[in-house]
Amino acid sequence: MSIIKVEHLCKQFKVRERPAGFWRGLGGLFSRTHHIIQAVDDVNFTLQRGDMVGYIGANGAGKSTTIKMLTGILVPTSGKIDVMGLTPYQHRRQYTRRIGVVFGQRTQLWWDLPVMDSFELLKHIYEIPERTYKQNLAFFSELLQLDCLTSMPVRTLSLGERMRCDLTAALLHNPEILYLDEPTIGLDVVAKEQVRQFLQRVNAERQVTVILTTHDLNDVEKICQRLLIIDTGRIIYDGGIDALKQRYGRTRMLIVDLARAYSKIQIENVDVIRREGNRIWLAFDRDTISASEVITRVTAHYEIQDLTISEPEIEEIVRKIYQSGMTD
Amino acid sequence: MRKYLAFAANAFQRTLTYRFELWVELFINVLFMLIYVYLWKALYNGRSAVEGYDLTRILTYIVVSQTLLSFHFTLRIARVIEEKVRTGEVVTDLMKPIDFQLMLLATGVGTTFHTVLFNMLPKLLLFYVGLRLLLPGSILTVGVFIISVMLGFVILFNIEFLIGILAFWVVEIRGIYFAVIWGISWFFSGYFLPLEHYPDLLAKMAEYLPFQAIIYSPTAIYVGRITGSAMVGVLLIQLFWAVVLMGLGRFAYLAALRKLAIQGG
Ligand SMILES: Nc1ncnc2c1ncn2[C@@H]1O[C@H](COP(=O)(O)OP(=O)(O)O)[C@@H](O)[C@H]1O
Ligand SMILES: [Mg+2]
Repeated sequence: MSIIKVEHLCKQFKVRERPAGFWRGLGGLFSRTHHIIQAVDDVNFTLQRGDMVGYIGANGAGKSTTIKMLTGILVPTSGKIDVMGLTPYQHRRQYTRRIGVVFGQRTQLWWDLPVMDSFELLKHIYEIPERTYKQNLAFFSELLQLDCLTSMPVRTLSLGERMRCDLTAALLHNPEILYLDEPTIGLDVVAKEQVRQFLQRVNAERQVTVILTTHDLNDVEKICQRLLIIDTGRIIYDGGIDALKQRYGRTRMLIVDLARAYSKIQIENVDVIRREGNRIWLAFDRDTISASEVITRVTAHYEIQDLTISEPEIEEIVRKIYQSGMTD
Repeated sequence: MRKYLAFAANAFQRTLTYRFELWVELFINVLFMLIYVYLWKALYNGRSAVEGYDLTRILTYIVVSQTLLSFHFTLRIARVIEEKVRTGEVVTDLMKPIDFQLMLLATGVGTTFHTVLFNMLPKLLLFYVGLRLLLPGSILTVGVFIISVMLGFVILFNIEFLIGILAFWVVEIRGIYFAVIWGISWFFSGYFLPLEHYPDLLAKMAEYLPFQAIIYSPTAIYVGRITGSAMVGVLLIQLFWAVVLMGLGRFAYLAALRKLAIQGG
């Protein structure tokens, strides 16, 4: 059964040239000089209940704008959003009871208050029955180890601790859908992994439909069955992670610090795509040549100091998708 | 309803953390009130009554109106909205099943209740004892006065709310805020001088504006300038303004939502 249906969704922002100052600020109300930014451009997708989907794109691709329309905060310029039979921005009050939202860059908790007070306030706002509230709090406290955090004011928490509290806050009222906009942004590797595992459990055990935006492929690699890739407002890929990797993710990157300067670097089946002083970036196709073979060849001809292998970045994959012309 | 009570209680609690500031504010308020009191004593030197106010009555008027003026210092809802729009925090409010206007009203009630307890009532008591001020004529007057104060508060809240909503359209509302709240509103609210003392034209203007309903109406009831059935008329006018302004605020807010554009995550 489909739970979210998005059809021909578009959002334009009109950006005015607004000079500073009081009266000129007011003048901005009537000014005619503006340009249009097409933040979301004809986006279509349907999600099923219980799906866990990654919404991926580089910075400025249109992820947050999409999430804000899905959560009813922004009104679409055109197109249709139907979530559980509701139009988010029209039925906001009714709709917000049934969804949970986490924005990685801001908190929905009250800055000056101890975390527990924020939870209590949310209990009233969402009119959560006492029993449900207690059960959920116990469940999330244990899963996210909140015990020593809840008595502290939000402003004293680290980013990772705050995120754990924000995740709890978004789920206390048993939402059917959880929207997360860059929930792992700024977190360290351990905290990121904790968030991912938590989301996976929430999705699996509580049948919560999850949409998660990120620019970090690692976030979605293990936990999302389906990926939507957005670039400059358009969906350029909609499918599984494996198919994506199969098609576009074969490139690996070897970053090498050379011991001294070489005027020319040439290795068979390997592209030198960047040079900065003695550091070089080598791209290779893992189906054509293995990483250990590349390393052997490099060390055979050049004196090296250090090397690292990196996974493909989202920008790289987006570039590949365009190159292959498969932007259906 | 429960949720808005929770908001009010919450705001009240948060205000408790700014204790020191509140003592400073109380101190400065009292200083200003003393200045006004001595000013009026000097002006009345030898005179018996002006425009129906004898010295005790005018002093009572000044003390009560100065006390009610504290609403202006405490509420600051326009600035709260501006801040929410500027930082994008408004997004987190919109995600919740609450009414933005009522939520802010509840928050305003919470912070103001704190001011009533720890600033306004002590001031009133202090000056009442120190100057032997008038007491309201009857228990009924006290009741009407309290209702009138609450309606005045709601009116001020809604004016602030309307100004705050402008922040959805213009970058900078501080100019408008100071002009309306600390200029026009102060002038026409009669906090400094009973409206009877105003030149006819200004007094007439004040009568048709909502600002007099914030301070002048309740104060005039307190000091017995408005009595009997006239009190009902005043309450009705206040109620009219409260409802109209609340409706306007809601309308402006809904229009703002359609235009809302918050940048960033
Ligand atoms: N309120 C706004 N006004 C003008 N432009 C905006 C606004 N919000 C977003 N944009 C622009 O729309 C595009 C998409 O932004 P966003 O959805 O925030 O991207 P992402 O979340 O993928 O980084 C960007 O070019 C951004 O600058
Ligand atoms: Mg974003």
